[in-house]
Amino acid sequence: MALLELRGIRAGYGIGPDILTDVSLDVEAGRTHCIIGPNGAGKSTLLKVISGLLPPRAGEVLFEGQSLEGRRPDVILACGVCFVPQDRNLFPEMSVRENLVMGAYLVRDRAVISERMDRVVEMFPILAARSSQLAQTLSGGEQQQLSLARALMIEPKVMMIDEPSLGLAPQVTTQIFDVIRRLGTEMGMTLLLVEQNVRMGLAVSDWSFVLDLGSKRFEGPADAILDDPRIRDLYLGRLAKRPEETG
Amino acid sequence: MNQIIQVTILGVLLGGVYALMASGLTILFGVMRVVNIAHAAFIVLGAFFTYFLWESTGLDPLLGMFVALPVFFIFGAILYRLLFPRLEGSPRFSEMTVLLTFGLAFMTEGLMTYFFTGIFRQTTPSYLTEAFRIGPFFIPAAQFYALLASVVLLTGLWAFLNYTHIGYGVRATMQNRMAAQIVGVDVRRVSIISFGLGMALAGAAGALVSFLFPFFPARHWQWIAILLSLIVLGGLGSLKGAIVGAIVLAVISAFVSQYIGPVWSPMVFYGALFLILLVRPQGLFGKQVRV
Amino acid sequence: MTDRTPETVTETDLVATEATVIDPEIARRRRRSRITIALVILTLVALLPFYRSMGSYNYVLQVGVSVFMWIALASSWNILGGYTGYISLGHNVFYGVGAYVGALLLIHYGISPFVSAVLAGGVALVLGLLAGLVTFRTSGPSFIISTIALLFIVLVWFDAWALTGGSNGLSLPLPPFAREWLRVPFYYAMLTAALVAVFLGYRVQHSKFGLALRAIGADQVKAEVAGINTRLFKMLAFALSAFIPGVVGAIFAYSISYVRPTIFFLIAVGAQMVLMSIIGGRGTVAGPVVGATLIILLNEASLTYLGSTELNLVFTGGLLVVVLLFFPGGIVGSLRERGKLPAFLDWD
Repeated sequence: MALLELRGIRAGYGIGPDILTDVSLDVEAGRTHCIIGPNGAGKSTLLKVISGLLPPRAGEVLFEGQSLEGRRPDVILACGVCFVPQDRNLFPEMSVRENLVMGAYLVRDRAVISERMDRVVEMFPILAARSSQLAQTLSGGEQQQLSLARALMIEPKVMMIDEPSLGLAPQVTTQIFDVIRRLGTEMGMTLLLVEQNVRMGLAVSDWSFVLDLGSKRFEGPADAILDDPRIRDLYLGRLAKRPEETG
Repeated sequence: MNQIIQVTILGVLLGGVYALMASGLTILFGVMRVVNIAHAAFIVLGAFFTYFLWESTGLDPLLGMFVALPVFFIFGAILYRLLFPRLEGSPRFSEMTVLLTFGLAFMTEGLMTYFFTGIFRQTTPSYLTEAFRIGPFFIPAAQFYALLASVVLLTGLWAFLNYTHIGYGVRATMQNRMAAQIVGVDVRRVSIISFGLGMALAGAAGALVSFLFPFFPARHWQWIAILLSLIVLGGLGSLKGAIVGAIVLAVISAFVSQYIGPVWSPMVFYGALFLILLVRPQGLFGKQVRV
Repeated sequence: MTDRTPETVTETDLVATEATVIDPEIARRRRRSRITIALVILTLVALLPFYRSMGSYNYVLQVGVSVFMWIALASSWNILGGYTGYISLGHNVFYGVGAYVGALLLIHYGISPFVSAVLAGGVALVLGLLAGLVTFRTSGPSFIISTIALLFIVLVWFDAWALTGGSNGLSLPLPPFAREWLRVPFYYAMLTAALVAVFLGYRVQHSKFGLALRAIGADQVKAEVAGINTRLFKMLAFALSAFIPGVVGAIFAYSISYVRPTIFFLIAVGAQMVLMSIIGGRGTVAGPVVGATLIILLNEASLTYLGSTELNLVFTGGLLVVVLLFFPGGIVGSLRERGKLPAFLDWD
C-alpha cells in the first residue's frame, strides 16, 4: 500500500471550471516523486487538494489507507502531510527563529521544539546566522531554505514542495535542490515535488508523474522519463488530445 | 509653552482611548479581513452595558470594564459564527463585510434607541470631577484612569499575541493566512477567537466611554468615521499603525480644538486620511496592495 | 440580451445573471410586454396629479416625490456601486452639496432651483471628479472608508461655515405656487429626474462604457491588461453617479424650504441609497427602482401603522443583512437566478 494515494481527483476553484479532471497516483514511502507538465496542468492545484486547502469535487485522497476527506488543513498536517507552497509563504514580520517555532505549532513540548530546531538548523546553517532577523529581510534563496526548514520542524511523513526553484537565481537553485536531494537520501523523507525546472526536478527524484490538462498522462522512473517520446509530444502540443487517442 | 504641553497631555490621554477603540477594529481586519462598520455601535453598546451595571449595582465603570470583557467576547464569538462563515470564500469578502456590518450598525443603533431612547447618558463616578496637578499642568483624573485602563488592556493584548500559543496563531494568521494554515493553525478557531477579542475590546472601550463622554445611540457614527480614517491612515491590519495613528492624530486634533475651534477637531482625522491617500495609499505601516 | 463576458458570470453575488432565453420570439414578446407595461405605469403615474378628488391628495403626491427622488438616487449610486463594485457609502455628499448650491443660488440671486438644479448637479459632478482623484488611489475597503471620510468632511465644514448657515442651516423662500398645486411641480420634476437617472442606468448597462465598468468590477487587473483605462472609467462613473443626486438635492431642498446639514449629510441618508440598490438588485437597471419603491412604501407603511422610527432602523439594517447573506443578487438578481424574473423588471 502506498503512503499517499489519489483516486479520481476532480477539482476547481470557486464556481469555475475543473482544473483537475481525473487524477490518480500513488506516492510510495521513502521515495522522491516529481510532478512535471506544461503550465496550467493543475500541478499546484493537486498539492492544494492533498493538503486540504482546496476540497476536491470528486475522488478521494488516502493517507496510510485512511481517507482525508473533509479534513481541515491543520488536521491533515497533524497526520503528517506537510505542504510547502510557492512563494515561500513565510511570516514576514516574525524572525527566522519565530518562523521555525511556528513550524512546530502543533507540538506542545518546548523541549522537543528546541531540539528539533537545533537539528534543522544544522541542515541549514545560514539560518542560524540570521536567527533573529525578520523573515522579510532574507534573500530569496534564504527564504526558500527557511520555508523548507520550517516544514521539517513538524517531522512530516510526506513533504509536498511546490516549485522550489521559482524566482531563484541558478546558483541558489542548485543549493536548494541539493538540500532536497539530501532530504530524500539522508533523511529518507517521502517527497512530492512540483517543478517547472524539469531537469533539476528529475535529477533529485526517483519517480515522475506527468500531468497535463488536469489528468495524469503517464508516469515512470525519473531518470528514464526524459527519454520517453511522449514527453516531446506533450511539450510540443501533440499530446493535447484525449487520452484514448494517444499511444 | 506650558499650554502646548498641556494640550499635548490632553491629546495623549484621548489618543490612548482611541487607540483602544481602533485596536479591536484592526484585529478584526488583520485576522479576518472584516471591516466592522458597527464597531463604534458596539462600543456604545458597551457604554450602555456599563451604565446600567453602574445604575443598578453601583459598580464603578472601570471595574465594569472587566465584566464587559468576557461578556462581549462571548457576544462576538456568537455573532461571528452566526453571520460571517456564509460570506467566506466570496471574492469581495472585505467589501461584503462592510455592507454587512453597515446593516448591523443600523440594527444595533435602532435597538439601542428603542430600548434606551436617545437621551444623553453618562456614568458619573467620583473621579469624573477630579484632577491631578503636576507642576503647572493639570491632568483630569477620569481621562488619566481611562488611559491607564487602555494601557493595561493593550499591554494584555500585546502579551497575548506574543506570549501565548493562540496569540502566535493569531499573529501568524494576521501576517499570512495561508502560511498559518499550512503550519497547522486552525484558522477558523482563530477567527472566532479574534472576533471575540475585537468585540471584547469594543466593550471595554465602551466602559471607558461611559464616563468620558455623554453618549447616546446615534453617537457611534462620529466615532466610526474617525476610527476608520485612523486605521486606513495607520495601514489596514497594522496594530502598530492604529496605535501610533490614534495618538498622533489625537494630539493634533487637541491642538486644532484649542487653537482653531472644537468643531474642527474631527477634520484632522478625515483630512489626514485624504492626505495619506495622496502620499502613501497603503497607510503608514501598511503593506502595498492591501486589497 | 446583454453582452456579458464569461468572467462576469462568476461574480453571481454582485451582478444579476441572465436567464437563458431560448426562443427569439419569446425574447421579442418579453420586450414588447415590458415596454407596454412600463408605458402604462408611466402614464398612470404622470396623470395622477390630475386626479384631484383623490383622498389625501397632498400626501400621495408627497410620497410620489419621495419615491421618484429615491429612484433617482439609488439608480445613480448603482452606476458606480453596482457595476464597478466600488461602494460609495458617503454618496449623499453629492445630494447635499447640490441642495446647498441650489439654496444659495436661490437666496442670493433669486434663481429658482428648478432652473439651477442642473448647475447644482454640475457642481456635484465636479466634486465627484476631484474626490475621485484621491479616493481612486485605493480600492476595496479603503475606498469605502474614504467616501465616508469625504461625507464627514463636508458635514463638519458645512456645519461650521457661516455661508451655509452652520448647524442651523438656511431657510429658503417658499415656491411661488398656489397652495393647492404646491406639490405638483416637484412631482413632475422628480419624476423627470427619476426617468433620466433610470435611462442613464439603462444606457450604461447597454453600452461599451457599462461593459468596461462591469469588467472593472469583475477583475480590475484583467480589465487593465485588456486595455481598459480603469482610472478614467472609474472617474467617469463616479462623476456620472454624482450628477443626478446633485440635481435632485437642489429640487428637494426647495420642496422642504430648508437646508440643514443633518438633513443631507447624515450617513443614514447615504445608507438608504446603498440599501435600495442592494435590496432591489445591484448592477441591474430595474433593481434600484424596485428597491427604492419598496423601501419608501414600507417606510411610509411602518410610520403610519407602527409610528416609531427606531424599529425602522432595525428593520432596514436587518433587511440589508438578510439580503447580503441569502439573496446577494437582490430581488431582481435572485428572481433572475431562479428564472422567475417577470418581463417588466428585465431591462438588462
